[in-house]
Amino acid sequence: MPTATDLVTDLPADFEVFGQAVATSMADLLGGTSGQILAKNSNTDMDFVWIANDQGDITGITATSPLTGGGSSGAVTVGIQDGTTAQKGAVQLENSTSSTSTTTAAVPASVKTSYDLAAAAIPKSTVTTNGDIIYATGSAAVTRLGIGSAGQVLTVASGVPSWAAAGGASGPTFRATRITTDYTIPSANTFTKMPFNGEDWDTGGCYDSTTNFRFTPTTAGYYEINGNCNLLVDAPVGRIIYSVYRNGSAWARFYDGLPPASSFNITSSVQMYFNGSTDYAEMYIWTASSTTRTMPLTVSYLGNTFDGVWIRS
Amino acid sequence: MTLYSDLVATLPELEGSDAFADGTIILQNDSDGAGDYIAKWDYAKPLPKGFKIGK
Repeated sequence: MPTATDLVTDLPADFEVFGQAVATSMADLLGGTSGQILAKNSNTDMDFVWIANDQGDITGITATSPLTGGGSSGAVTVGIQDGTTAQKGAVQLENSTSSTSTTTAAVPASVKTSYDLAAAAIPKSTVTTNGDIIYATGSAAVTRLGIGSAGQVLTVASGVPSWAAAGGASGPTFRATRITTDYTIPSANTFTKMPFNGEDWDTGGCYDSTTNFRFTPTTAGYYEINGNCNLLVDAPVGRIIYSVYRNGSAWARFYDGLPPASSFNITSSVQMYFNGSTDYAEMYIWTASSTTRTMPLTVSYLGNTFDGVWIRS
Repeated sequence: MTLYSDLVATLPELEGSDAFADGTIILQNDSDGAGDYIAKWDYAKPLPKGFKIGK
């Protein structure tokens, strides 16, 4: 290129050189396609590049499940499909513990309600074996009772259910007698305990044949109490009362009337409940006549027995 | 003398009374060697002096 002080110039040549330099400098502006924009390619002067005119804009939406719609031109809409058991999607929340819907979802409140119910339920793991049953051991406390054996029945022992042999529950039985000597009733008009001082049997050791002459069963339940009174009277006159006592008081009269003969037997029975600890039974005789009334030995007239047997709980 | 005869001596109207059989007055003997005693006294008159309830 000529300078301002050059005297001779070759203008055509000079312009060609100038034009080539400009073309070289502006080379990046060449090219490009319709719609493209010019962008700096680097920090170097005159370093440009043609790029697509889509910088920072959404030019299209591709929708995949559970989204619907989408597109790359015109008005683009996007939706979300309903969720079902077959497809993912939007789900309506529901606060219910009774709904049977298959298209809604539970909220924490309903989940907690269900959880609380489940937590308060008897765990299935309580039972382990075929035939197990469950019973309470207190408030909100349970335990298992394994199946019993064939023929057993459910009963209660020590305050809890248990299996026992059918008909296996039992209580004591006894038969008291008068032995050694006849007993003369000491006073008329006086209820006198009949001193049965012998025992044919006493399975539970519940009859006292030495001191109190009373039956105090150690198994609670209903008993049949039998009394056979044999009296020898000087004369068949004067009222006679033959009673069974319970806990020191008259419970039932087996006989109340005149003696039918000078020697007679009276047999009777009654059912009585015993608590298995403190309840007891005794036999008393009362006569109005002051003539001699004798309670002979059991073996003499096959009378004067006092017996009882447990019937049921 | 028995407890019965002692009572009748004190209250003669008790002679032959049903009170001793019907439970109004219960004289009892537990065949324990302690003898007769008054187990119950529901008679219209109070227990006479010299007598007691129980053994």
